[in-house]
Amino acid sequence: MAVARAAAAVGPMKITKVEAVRFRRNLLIQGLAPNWTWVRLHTDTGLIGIGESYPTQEAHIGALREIAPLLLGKDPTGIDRLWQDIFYRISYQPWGGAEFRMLTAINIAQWDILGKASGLPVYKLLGGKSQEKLLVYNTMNGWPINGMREHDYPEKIAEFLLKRGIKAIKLYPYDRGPVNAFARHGGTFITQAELKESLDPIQRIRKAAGNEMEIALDLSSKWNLPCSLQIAKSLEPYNIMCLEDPMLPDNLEAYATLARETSIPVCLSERLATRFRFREMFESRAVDVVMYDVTWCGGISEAKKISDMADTYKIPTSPHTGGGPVLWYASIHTATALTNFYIMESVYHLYNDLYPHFLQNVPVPVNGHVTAPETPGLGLELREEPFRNGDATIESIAEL
Amino acid sequence: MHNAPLTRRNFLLASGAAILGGAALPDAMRAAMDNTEALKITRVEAVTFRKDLKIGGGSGGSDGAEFCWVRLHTDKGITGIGETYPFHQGEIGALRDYAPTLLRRDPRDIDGIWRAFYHRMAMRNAGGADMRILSAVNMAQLDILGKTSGLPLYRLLGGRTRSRIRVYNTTTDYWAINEMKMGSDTLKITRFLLDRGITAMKIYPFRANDNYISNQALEQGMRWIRDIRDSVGTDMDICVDCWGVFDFPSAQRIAKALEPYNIMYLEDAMLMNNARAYAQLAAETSVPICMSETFATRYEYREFLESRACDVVMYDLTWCGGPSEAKKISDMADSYLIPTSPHTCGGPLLYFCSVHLCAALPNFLIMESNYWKYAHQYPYFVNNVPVPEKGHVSPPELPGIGAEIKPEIFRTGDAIVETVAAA
Repeated sequence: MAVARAAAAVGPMKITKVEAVRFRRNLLIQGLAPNWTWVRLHTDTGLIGIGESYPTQEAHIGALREIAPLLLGKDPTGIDRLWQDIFYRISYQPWGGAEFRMLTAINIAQWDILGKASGLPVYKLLGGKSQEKLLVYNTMNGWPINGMREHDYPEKIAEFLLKRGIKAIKLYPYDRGPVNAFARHGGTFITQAELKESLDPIQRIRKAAGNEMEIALDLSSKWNLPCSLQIAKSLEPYNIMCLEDPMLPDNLEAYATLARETSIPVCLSERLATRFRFREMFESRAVDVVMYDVTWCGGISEAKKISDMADTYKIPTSPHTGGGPVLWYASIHTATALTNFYIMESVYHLYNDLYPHFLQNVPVPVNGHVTAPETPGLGLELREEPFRNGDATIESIAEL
Repeated sequence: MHNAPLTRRNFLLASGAAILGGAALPDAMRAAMDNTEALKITRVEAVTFRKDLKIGGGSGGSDGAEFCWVRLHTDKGITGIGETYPFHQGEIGALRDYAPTLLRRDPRDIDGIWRAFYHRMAMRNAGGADMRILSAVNMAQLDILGKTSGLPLYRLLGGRTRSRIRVYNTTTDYWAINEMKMGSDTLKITRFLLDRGITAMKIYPFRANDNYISNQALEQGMRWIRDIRDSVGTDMDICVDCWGVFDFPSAQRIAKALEPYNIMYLEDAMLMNNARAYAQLAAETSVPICMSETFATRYEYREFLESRACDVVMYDLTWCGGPSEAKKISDMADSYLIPTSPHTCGGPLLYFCSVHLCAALPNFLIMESNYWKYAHQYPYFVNNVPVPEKGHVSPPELPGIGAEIKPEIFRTGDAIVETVAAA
């Protein structure tokens, strides 16, 4: 009986409606604006799946209007087939960008549907629980903690995080804060003085917390090769957890040069998408830690394929999560299933202040770790208020 | 002539009203403005076309405008126009996202705007609608640079390296020549082209339901090629395009079957995402391998050039990052002794810009053209479409892109103008 019920639940179904959810312009929640777009897939079984991408809205919704007719009448549980069909459709006119991010959002919504139809949390469909709980670091960037920015209060921030068991932090000393060497030369040059001054927050955290705090650095892809080499060299004495995106990832040989020259693990890049691009990266030994964004790289399916391929190179995965709440949930499910997991990004300002405005059950790090929800699908428990008060509006894009 | 900016400026001021009116002043009469003064983008517009447009002319099914335009207005009254395709909703959405960053910028800062745009997009996988709209914006910027300097676009891209540009005809059922179809009308089509001096054609002979090509499908495709060779010998050059659908073994079998027939090139035989697989194909076959208008930016082409994955470079300048990026890609290809064969099966401005670019490229092979498009579709929108004569086209000698867009398309409701951002 149970088997028959389950089979009926995941039996043939059809996508009957595609919706976009947009968020009110100028909506600010504790100083943060939701910068993501949701995609909702409705089916003839009544099941609804939600996907997401970011950071723009108009291009996404425009692209969704172009793609949505391809989805109507299709079985959302045919996950790889639909991905391939849409990818081939959009891969002629240089693929990527907004329509690729919508393919990504659609893929996430399909996994949400498959999970709900089968009664399983998504991680169980991706290989099961490889990680009981996920180690996280906290990204600072433009997201202060209770008003404290990384450059002004590095010691206090470290203390705040360590008290919560979060023992890793990601900093942006080269393109933010008082030094901001990038702003001075546009990423083409860095002086000896700037190299030294940029170390300030790192030295202060080391002084206050010793090696208890792991430090990752994000260079936002703003530098050329010689600057990247100089920056890496100046960081060598500080036991850096990883150096992320010093250059644009469009020349992997340049990255291979950097990776050979420095002992700091090189991490890239959420700017890349599809297993096809990541394959090149692995083959050219350009990287020690792989990072992707589940809402940019092609979705949950593609993320899992990329990690599985990375595993054959002994390369672990560190998912990028600095976007919307569906990204946060989808990354937790994906990472839970990975055997080659490293550490996952988390942003206090987002999971503490922004996501709870939209969701009731936001996973929050406990003792420096998060765990996946055990409810079917992605396990998103949406709040109704944003849909009632106009913070979120639903727009029908295509319908059978 | 360039030493008289004041005169020209006075002329501009005197004709200010006409210039603000847009198309009222013929482009040929536009003169160089004083380029020492700042120029600012004041408004960004999107132009789309009526969905039910029926152009006709025996197209066999594709009757409308699959392209969209971007117009940049400046505080000096000069406007520039750019184009991309084949969708418009994602592109115009992307324009809505990005246009505010263009306002008040000097449109002549071409590489700087491109770089900032690219870095913002590359943050999340550069390409798609975002890259296509960047391409259109870049084209519009170059159009403005041409108009402000009084120079046709090809003179800004290195000047003339040839006066006549050889074209081939892309032959498909949906952009057909007078309803003729390959297979049943192969010889009639071949003769029609040769009679007009067009001595090269691109065909799509290989069909498969999946990524594998059966022996029967391979044989059926080869029949088109034998028919052409048997009837006109080597008078007609043949390019074969596969739309990127086949797997590696199928691509190898296709290349091998084509070897005895002096094929000009085999284009996009596999999905274009593995340079090594293409390098292996290129190493194993004597058929020149061409790729691919599905790439964007010099960064992406570099890898394929470095790994010797192709013998001919193809790009679409409304997709690859715009005319300025296309020129950089060709210049890089030249250092590998690889020639360029631009893709032009989009809108009229793509065609005009490609003609300008080909006039300037030292490493040019042959340019795509399509009879239905230049005979029926483009003239619906533009007056002075370069139509092949004896199989060759030449760029217009007008400032900028030099396309004389018909003013009536804006009155009839065929073209719909929407302001996306204004200062």
